[in-house]
Amino acid sequence: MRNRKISFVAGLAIAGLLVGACSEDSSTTTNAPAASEAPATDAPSGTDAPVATDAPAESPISAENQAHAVEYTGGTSGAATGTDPYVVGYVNQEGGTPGFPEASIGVDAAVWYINNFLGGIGGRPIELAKCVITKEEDGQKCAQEMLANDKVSVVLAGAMLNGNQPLLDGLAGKKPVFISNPLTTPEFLATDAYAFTPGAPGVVGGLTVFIAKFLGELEGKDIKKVAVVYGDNPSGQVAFNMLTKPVFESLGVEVTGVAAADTAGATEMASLIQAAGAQDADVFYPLVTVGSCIAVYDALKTLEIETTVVTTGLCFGVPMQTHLKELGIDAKLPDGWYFGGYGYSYEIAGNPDIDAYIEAVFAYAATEGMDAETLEYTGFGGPTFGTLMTIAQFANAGAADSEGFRTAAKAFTGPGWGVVGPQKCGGNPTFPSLCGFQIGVQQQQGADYVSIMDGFNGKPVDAQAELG
Amino acid sequence: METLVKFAKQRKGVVAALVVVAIFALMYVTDAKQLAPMFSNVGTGALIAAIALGVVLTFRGSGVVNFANGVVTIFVAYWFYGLRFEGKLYIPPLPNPLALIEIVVNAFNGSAKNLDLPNWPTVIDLPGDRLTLPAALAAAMVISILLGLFLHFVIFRPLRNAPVLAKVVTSVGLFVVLQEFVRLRFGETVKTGIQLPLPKGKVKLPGDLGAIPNNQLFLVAIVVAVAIALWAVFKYTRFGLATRAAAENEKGAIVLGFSPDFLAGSNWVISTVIAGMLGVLASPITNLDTITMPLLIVPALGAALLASFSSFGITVFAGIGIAMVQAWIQYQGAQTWFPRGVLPAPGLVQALPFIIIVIAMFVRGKSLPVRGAVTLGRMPFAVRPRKVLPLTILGSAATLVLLFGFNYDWRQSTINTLVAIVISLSLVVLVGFVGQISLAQMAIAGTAGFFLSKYFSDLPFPVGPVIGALVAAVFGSLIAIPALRVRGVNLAVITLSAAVAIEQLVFKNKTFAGESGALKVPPPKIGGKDFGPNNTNLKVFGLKAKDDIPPNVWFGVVCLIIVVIMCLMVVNVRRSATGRQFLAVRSNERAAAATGINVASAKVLAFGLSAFIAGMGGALSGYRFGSVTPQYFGAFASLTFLAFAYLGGIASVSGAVVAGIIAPNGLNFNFLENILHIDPAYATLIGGIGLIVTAVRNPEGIAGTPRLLAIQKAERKARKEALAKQQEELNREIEGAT
Repeated sequence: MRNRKISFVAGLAIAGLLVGACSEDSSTTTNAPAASEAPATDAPSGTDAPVATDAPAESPISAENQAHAVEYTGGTSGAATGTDPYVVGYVNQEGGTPGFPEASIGVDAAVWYINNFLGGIGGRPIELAKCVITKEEDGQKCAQEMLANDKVSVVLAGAMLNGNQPLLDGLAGKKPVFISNPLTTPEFLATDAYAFTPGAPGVVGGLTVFIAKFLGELEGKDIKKVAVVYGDNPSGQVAFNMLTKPVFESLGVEVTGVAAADTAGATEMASLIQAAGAQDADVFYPLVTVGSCIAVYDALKTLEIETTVVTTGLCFGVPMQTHLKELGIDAKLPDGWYFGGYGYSYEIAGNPDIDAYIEAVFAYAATEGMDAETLEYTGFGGPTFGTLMTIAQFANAGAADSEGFRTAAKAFTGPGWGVVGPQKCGGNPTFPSLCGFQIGVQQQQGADYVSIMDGFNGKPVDAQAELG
Repeated sequence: METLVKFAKQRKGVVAALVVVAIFALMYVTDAKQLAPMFSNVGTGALIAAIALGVVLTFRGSGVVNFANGVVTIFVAYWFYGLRFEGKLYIPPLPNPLALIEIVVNAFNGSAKNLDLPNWPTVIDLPGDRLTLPAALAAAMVISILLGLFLHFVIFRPLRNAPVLAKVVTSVGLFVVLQEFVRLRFGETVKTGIQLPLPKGKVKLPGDLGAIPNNQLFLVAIVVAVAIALWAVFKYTRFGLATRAAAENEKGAIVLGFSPDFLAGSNWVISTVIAGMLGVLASPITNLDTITMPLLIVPALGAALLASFSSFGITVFAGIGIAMVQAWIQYQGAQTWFPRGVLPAPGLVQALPFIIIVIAMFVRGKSLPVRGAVTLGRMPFAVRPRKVLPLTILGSAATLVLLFGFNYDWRQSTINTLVAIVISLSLVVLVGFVGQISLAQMAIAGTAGFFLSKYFSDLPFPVGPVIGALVAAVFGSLIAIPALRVRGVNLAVITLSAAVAIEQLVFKNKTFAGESGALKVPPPKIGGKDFGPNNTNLKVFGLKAKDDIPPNVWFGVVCLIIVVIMCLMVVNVRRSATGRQFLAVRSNERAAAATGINVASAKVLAFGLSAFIAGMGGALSGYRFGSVTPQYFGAFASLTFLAFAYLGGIASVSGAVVAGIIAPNGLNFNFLENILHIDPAYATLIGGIGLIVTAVRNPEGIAGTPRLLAIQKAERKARKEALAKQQEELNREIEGAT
């Protein structure tokens, strides 16, 4: 009898837990980090539209930036007045490691911005049909959800390292995918996908060319030996094995690469950095995400390695800035480091696209009650914001269905929002999805962040042109 | 010479130390730089050693090898992180009675907004900003102690007489539950830049030897101090001696007046405190994440094995040594001479514990300790299949209805269920029939998927997947080789490390698996027609799915046919002489051998057959996604699949079918998500809890529940009748007396 009671209680507990699960994250306290951080592995796709009614009475958006954005999207000043939503599919990898929640902050800010200040799409407010990826098989599920939603004509991808292949295979020839940040081989090779940013091939390839051809003169030394620590993930593997090593070797630079887990801490990173030979290298080139980048910084400090550091914009994010602040360092980024990105920088004013983005994302964050101090608006946030702005431009110009978006993308010559250089989709036979290739490089010098070779000074790096 | 040999035998420790010093000297002379990364990775070694110490303690105290001890580190460290850095106390998921109302309402709600009633809080904001460091550390200590008590009294104490299989799967269930708890409450994003007042600076080593950061030295010092304290306690105190006595002979300890229960509970608490507090202290230099740290259990098991689950000193030495050798491999992997294409250095680093474990097993095989216990319970009952034909027809008809009659998400979850059934069947053969615990089944399945993609995708269906499955069978048979010498928990350890090794050395080998991290699997073609999941235009007999959204319904039919074939194959194995031999080996290997059964060939056959079935599942999985990735076939996936297979019923075909239904992304998930509107993020947690409850209360699994209930009913009836009869006789005697 006792056994039966225990079994009954255990069964009841499981049933209760099971049923308790259904509402736990959606209710409860006002402070629920789990809700925002919890992985939505199998989250059902839903629609999410920061609607026009949220617009504050006193505009947080400057007239100048608004006018610039209206001109780009081809919309009208003011809020969207329609009620029938314009649905755009949105897929992003977040809720795990690696994960890119900043891309979703960027796209949500774009929806809010377009709906409240740029007149929506022909007066209709944009709604996102969201699907979140945390693992490879989620890509297939997201493709199915996008295909099942008749209102979705075009799918926007934020940043993904997993699930790209099944997502792109599932949607190929049915609905075009606009990739904000192409990072993996399936994305570079996709034939029914379009990226208006140079992605990993542009940035990694561009930085490699920058190190081999231009950095020596800037640093006053011959660049003969480069040490690389790269992420042990699909993007990191491609970045080193396909975009870095062969390019360096073709340019006569010796390169040593070591793979690092995305979760590597300072201890593991210290041994990896030494294994790569950073202490003897002319340049140390970490190709890792922001979490690992903090570990790189700590390990370099511990080991007192003071060689030149060149890295991507992924090391640039708010977490790095917060870490330096906690260490009492009076600079936003590590002194002397070079950063490569899509042509402009969040830290240097003067590009109207980036300026408008920063204003919009902070205004959006304020309406949502997010903490401005820790708001992660950098990294992939800006490019994802920009790609939705470009989609809005195509839609306002008359793209009404999937074929319309394809035609508009192929005809697009730029400029892209927040990126440098011309656009020509399909212009590179090796990477058919990529439409732009130029990048920018900046450097932290003391307390200042300065332009080195980028869109600000009109000297962006173009790996494609440099390598012929 | 004789004197030297005698000295070496008597002073093994001194000899080992001399050998290590000699190796270091040789390395210094050849290339001093190769030592630098080794010294800067001792912090990781300290954490591995701490986890290993906990493993040794729980084994000596209660006979349980705790596979979840790596998760214990993050379980405590994350809680500490919340209290110290966020000022928040995270609440575990609790049953909510109001959710029952939500489920009923939402099930009939259609597309309307879901009812959302109040629930337990997920987190409580602490008064003030955040806890002070001493307060947070004290709280972490309390959490560690409570966790240790909970693990002993609620989970492992009821299992003290259970078979090894039950203890291993419970430990696996615990791994899943603790990891899911952390994942759900704290998210999967790595916590970086954690600041604790650890010693700053470094000890600079001479020449090119680099430096050891002081914070890492501090961790090493703590672990060494803990090991010395444990050694002293176990050598000189009554508690320690009693634990050692109980480990040798539990019955003897009871006779001498010791309570094995108290000893086990105390050791559990010490174990969780060591792992938890080291997890907290190591967080600034290792970061906090839900993936890497739990898997430190693999090198920790290697260290514990080298120490024969006994010596604390060797455990610490081995733990730190493994981390140092891993760093050395990393260094060598970056050198030009290293055959990176053939041997990926990161993979070799992760596979090192497997190599160490295999060597330890082979060298010391039979001398490895199998802790004594008072009694051992029986394995789950492997019921002889009955009514096979009607059940097959009924099941197939139901599957066809789901495939043709419902929309894409039901179709997809049906296909996911079919694939999961195949993989669960492989566990039924190996674990259920032969009692060999495999924690590498998904890795084995993956070999078929990867080989299919790489070499056999041009072959016609089903030749390609069958050859892929045969390759998996070869891998499975290779794993059977150590299984000939080791069994029980030792085999579980070796298969877990093998899963990591296969993932790292095969699936992540760029020569084999390419640069992109995923290999494409072209769709299966039958009679020239594309039966792949994305070809929704395919019509056979003029039939196609309800809608044009993938997956293609005919791919589901192909999966169904393979499932039916595999099920019938396993049914026949169970009914045949081979099946009876398997069960005999499971019950008692010596007795089986005495009756003329070739135990070795039975084991090799079981591993090979099981791997073949898993390989078919891996091939189907590759077709399903159009690609194969290391992540899908990783070590965690193997643990999760074992959990659901055990929950479904590990010793029967019907159990595998139930396991497929409740497996991640299967029919049950779809039902929970789309009908009951329950967040599927909780499903794995519920599965883990279900596994623990099943292991403790009902080893037959869900499929065996009706049988168990029938037995219990019959027993109750028999007891009742006996009592009635006794009462009747008593009454008769009383009547006679009067």
